[in-house]
Amino acid sequence: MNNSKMLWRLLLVALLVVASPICKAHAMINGLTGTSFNFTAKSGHITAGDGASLLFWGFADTSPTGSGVVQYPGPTLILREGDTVTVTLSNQLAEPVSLLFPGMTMISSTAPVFNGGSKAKLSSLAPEALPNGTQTYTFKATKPGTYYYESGSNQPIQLRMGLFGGIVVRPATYKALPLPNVVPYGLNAFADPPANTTRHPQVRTNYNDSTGIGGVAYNPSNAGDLTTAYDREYLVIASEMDPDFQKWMEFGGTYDLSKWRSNYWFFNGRNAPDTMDMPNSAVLPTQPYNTMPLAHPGERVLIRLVNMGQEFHPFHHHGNHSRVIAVDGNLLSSNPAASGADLAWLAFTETLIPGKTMDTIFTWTGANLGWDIYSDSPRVRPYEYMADHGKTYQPNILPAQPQTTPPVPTPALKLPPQAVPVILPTIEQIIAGANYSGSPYLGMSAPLTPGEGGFNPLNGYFYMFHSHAELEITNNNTFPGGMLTMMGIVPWPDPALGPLDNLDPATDMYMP
Amino acid sequence: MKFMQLKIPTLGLLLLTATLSATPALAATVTYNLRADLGSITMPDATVVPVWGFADDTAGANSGTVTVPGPQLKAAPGDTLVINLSNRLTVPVSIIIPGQRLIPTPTSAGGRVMSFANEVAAGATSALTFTPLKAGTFLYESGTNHASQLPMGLYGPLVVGPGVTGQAYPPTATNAGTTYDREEVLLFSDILARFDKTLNKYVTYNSDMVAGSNPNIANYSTLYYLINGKSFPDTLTPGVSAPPGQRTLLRILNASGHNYMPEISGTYYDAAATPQPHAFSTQVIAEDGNLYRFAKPGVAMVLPAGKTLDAMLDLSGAGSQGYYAVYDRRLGLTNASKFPGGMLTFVASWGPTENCSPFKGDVNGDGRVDLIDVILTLRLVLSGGYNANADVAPVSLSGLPCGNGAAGGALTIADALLLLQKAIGLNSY
Amino acid sequence: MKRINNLTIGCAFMLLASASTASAYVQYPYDIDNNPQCWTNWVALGVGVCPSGQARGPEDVDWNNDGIYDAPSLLPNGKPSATYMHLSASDGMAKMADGTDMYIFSFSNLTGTRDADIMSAMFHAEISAPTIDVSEGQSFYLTLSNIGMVIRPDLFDPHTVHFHGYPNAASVFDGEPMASFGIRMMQELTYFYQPYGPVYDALNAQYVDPGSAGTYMYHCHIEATEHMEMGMLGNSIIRPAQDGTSVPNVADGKTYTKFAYNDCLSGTDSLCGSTGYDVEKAIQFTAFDPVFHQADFDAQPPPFATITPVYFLLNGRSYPDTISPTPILNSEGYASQKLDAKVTATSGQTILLRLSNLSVKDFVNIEAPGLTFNVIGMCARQLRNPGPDGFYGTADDQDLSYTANSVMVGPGESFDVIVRTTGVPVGTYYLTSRNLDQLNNNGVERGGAMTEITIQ
Repeated sequence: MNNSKMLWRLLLVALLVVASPICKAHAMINGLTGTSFNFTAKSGHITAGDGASLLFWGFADTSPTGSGVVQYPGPTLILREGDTVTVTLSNQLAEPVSLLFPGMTMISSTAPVFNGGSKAKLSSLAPEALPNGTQTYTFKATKPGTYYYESGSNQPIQLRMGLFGGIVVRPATYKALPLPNVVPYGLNAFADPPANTTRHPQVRTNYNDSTGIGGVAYNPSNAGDLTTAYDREYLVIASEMDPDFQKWMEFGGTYDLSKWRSNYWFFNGRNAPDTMDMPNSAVLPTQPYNTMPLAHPGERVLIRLVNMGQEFHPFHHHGNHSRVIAVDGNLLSSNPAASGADLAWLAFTETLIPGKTMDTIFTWTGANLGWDIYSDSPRVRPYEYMADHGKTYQPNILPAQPQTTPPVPTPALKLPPQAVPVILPTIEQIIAGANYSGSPYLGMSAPLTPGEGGFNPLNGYFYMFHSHAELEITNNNTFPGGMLTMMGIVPWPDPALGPLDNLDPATDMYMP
Repeated sequence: MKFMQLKIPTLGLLLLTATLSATPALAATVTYNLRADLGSITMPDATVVPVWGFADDTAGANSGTVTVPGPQLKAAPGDTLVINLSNRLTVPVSIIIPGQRLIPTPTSAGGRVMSFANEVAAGATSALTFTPLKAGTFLYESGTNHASQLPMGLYGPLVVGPGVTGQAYPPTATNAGTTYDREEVLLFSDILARFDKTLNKYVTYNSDMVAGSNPNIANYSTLYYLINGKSFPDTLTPGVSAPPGQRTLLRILNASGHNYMPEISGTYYDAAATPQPHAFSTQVIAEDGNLYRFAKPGVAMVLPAGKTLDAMLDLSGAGSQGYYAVYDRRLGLTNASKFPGGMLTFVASWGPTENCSPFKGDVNGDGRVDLIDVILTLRLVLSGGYNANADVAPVSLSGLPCGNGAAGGALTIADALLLLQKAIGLNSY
Repeated sequence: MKRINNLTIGCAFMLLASASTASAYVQYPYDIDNNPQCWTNWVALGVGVCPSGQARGPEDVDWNNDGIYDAPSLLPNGKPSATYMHLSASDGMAKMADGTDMYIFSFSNLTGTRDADIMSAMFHAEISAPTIDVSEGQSFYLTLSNIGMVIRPDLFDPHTVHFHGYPNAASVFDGEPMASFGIRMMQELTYFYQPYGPVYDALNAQYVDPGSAGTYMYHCHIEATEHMEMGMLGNSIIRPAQDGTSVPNVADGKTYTKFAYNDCLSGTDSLCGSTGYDVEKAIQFTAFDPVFHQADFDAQPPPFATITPVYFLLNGRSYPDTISPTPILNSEGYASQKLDAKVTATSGQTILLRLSNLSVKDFVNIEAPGLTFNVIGMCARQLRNPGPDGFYGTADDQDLSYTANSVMVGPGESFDVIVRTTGVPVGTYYLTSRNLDQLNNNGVERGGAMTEITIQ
């Protein structure tokens, strides 16, 4: 992977991690808030990961405070449960455009449009804005969750062209919860919710911080229900394009729609490596949203997944399983009033399905590795796994057998070693990646061959989040690219350097 | 389509049923006479596609017409299903029903399997028995070189049940919503084709098969997307109905070799200021004839190849009429690459005494709403006459031309005005 | 595919062998042949006398230089607490069911091979790659030797092993080269994994994690689209600590000693025994595009944009090769496809199918007409939720398993399917893709992603 452009973009990753103002812009979902929105459908061009310029149709925020720039995907709407929302659509395209809001409670008309009343002349699945016309949609955001809007007109063309966007509906209890802002970590931090114990050092969370970036994805069942609580959230909208189709739309010629074949794959309208560039990047004016999740060990990262393409995309995240807590804005619960997300499942690959959304919570701690990701440091770190640390507590990594009584730690069993239990190859034997610190330990570094590594200033661990249909991590015949980003686990600050509350309250990111 | 069903209670099956389920109905033998034969179906663009399909020969040998999908078979849980399959094709054929008990009797040719079970040689007739039947929605389909025969059309729906009227499956404590007021079958499939540069037109897989070539499926892509053997707009006849206030069970099947994504336009209108959030909801309650432990709500359903789903379209809390699109979110919405078409239909949701069809207003029946319809309506208004098709005002709050026919029905100038707006494009209803 | 010139192989072999300065350095800190001083075969093979002190054999490696090779202790279920595996990464040929030879990259098994013989694995890539099969509680040492490519000596590609789905993975052993590193040609790298068992919270006297058991997969993550399409893929299994204990399954009345998951963390767990099985088969789906493989063979740029698979494989074979009990030999006479995909059980036995997909493009919907799938696991986790209390094996746990005729497996996904055969008519059933374009061998009908399940 010696793509120079990739390295350049990764430099930006490094900047993101170091510079707190950028972090602040990052650890949240970019989008529009409010209850009244003005969209204009028009065409523009995006820049693909390989530099190609592609025609697209999208929506621009043409409210008085909006950018007016058409974007791919359309502006993300960030709403509150119970809001009555108005979207006024103006159409600068040459064909009718309409909007569907699946999962919303529509207040304005939902009647489809058949030109001349003829069955064969279906124009739109919902009231439409004619070319140079407008149409207004009113709906109530009845339920919290992750949703989308999309064109209901000429969908085989318009959805392939990009007329869609994401919707996040925050629960009424978003920032007004009786949830603990401080939870214990250590041995019991892996319970869900964390077990009630004060034996261990504690970590400040974002769940209920009125100024912070955390919250809950759904209304908790009770004061102890942390199953949808998160510290950081990200939105990932998947889509794809066939460059031949986009060229045909722009320049004409012959094209057979039945032969449509995607060769660009997008997260939030960008191909890798641009997925890892900053949001609102000046070099990507029509692609304002990035995909660059960052977190500390133990933090709950809510990833809202939306597929606006027409293909299935297996979303694979390295590092750990995710907990899928909701589908299509429906909490996976046997009883939302009492049980939290008790029908959630764990997965290392979640297939993104056209027209569906999924909310997942990803947490990484490095637990149970059999060695200590912090090496032999005498200090206990936030979310450090005691058994791996192997010093203070009785290890509970025993390969326990099923039994009705608690297992008794067997003295004969060897304690797990604290250090990496193998001799790693020398730097001459390896080709190191840009995100490798040179050290196997979190927060530590070691020299690498000049030209390798270097894009990991806080010595975090990085995990590829990508489509596991690996063809989809290319850009029109060039590897790497497509649906790919690197998720960063950034070490917590060393407690010895000061209390955790010294973190930037908006981002909770450690600043060196 | 009606079928003669021979119900012969037998003691043995009765006992079997009693042990298998608490179904109170008597176990019976249900017999169908099906013929596998060559036929054809016509696409909305008038393309005629040759098919291999099943015909209902209840009325006598070779009496039925080949349809795609094949005739809907019905039976009760615990029944014995006997299909007398007459094969008029030039190749062996069979019927298997994934999800139902199968006696494996594979045949092979050239060292590779030909039929998984139940093979009927070309020209032969055999009685195929499936017993005891399990409740649910199933595909019956050819199990003979199925990668080759299924694209030809050799499939159909089997509905087993309900064991209790109006109850798709025995409810459980955690999936209690199995009762329904009415049911609809939506069977998804497709027609494959290649573009022949010499002929400068699409040639279907089916044509090549019938012509006797041995086509490689890899060279074909999907050209027509079908629901119940039809593409939009033919899917609107007769279409799907789900009145407000009722629960409609959608039995959804995918007989094709591709994975589809039926999405029901989940937008919902209710005039009440505080609408019930679930007044319109779709819940998938069962997969492949197996009731889920918990129903799965959602606006779109994953429908892989060969899969069946039972989805409850619950409009019991709906306060208004609606006309909801059911469409393939994988964009199989074209007929030979032209929109609109394909796997698209609408759920008509209005009461039995109402007519909210968006196609109302075509008073003279010429297929469109134009000024002539307006004039005809004006004449009726002046003469005090009535035509239900012109009764479009008032438009319901959901935007449909429900009219006031349900409330007694009379035409007023408002109807003519609305039609005028429609005719000149100011109102789409 | 062109025949390989044996001379080419020989030249390449000599070239690379002479370039090799490092010998295999398998890191495994235990004695597994009961000779605490050195590897017994070191003497038997006539390589030399058994030296004292720092001697190394391919097995007994004294990685911490304490001079003693200890035997690993035994786990409560009798399995050794440590195990190791040695893989090569190279190229080779695989035989498709229509007789076509396909150029591939992949792994082969060097476990137990002495240093001097390691280069013999050149051009012996296997598809599926050798299965990784370890148990909870075992320290697993996996050594990868990158021994170079015969046909593509111009490709100085590093390789890795990505243990796909391994929980809480550290970057250093994740095999993803951006966040860590790949191993250069003629070098070795040893990965360490500690598959963990049920995690017991002593304070609350409850289990907070049921363990890491499950159906995983592994693949090379270097230039992943290319190296995976070329075949660097294998099955990977972590077995539960519960294996070896007898647990009755209330639902089917049988008692099992083998399980997919730790499904019985307390005596009151209603799911006890629900993942028990008598017969298991790991079946991995993938698909090959011969045009892509030929381009790699011909040292052309990899044609990603046109990838069109026409061979659909289960464990590296397509039907009818899937049912062959003997290895498939490539045109060089090498057993390039050792794993079959046939399942055989006697009536009444419970079958566990470990289904996974490492195709770079295709989803596969797998069914077995006549047999019912009880889907009990997904992505190497039992389909269960610990409930609001977060503790496994308690009364509020939710059973998320389900029953279906088919299961759609996406690239990078795994599913665990239980098939119960009690009362099922005996005979041969077919486990087959229901995606109909995956059932031919480059146009030859009745092939592809299909195999047999025979119930006797």
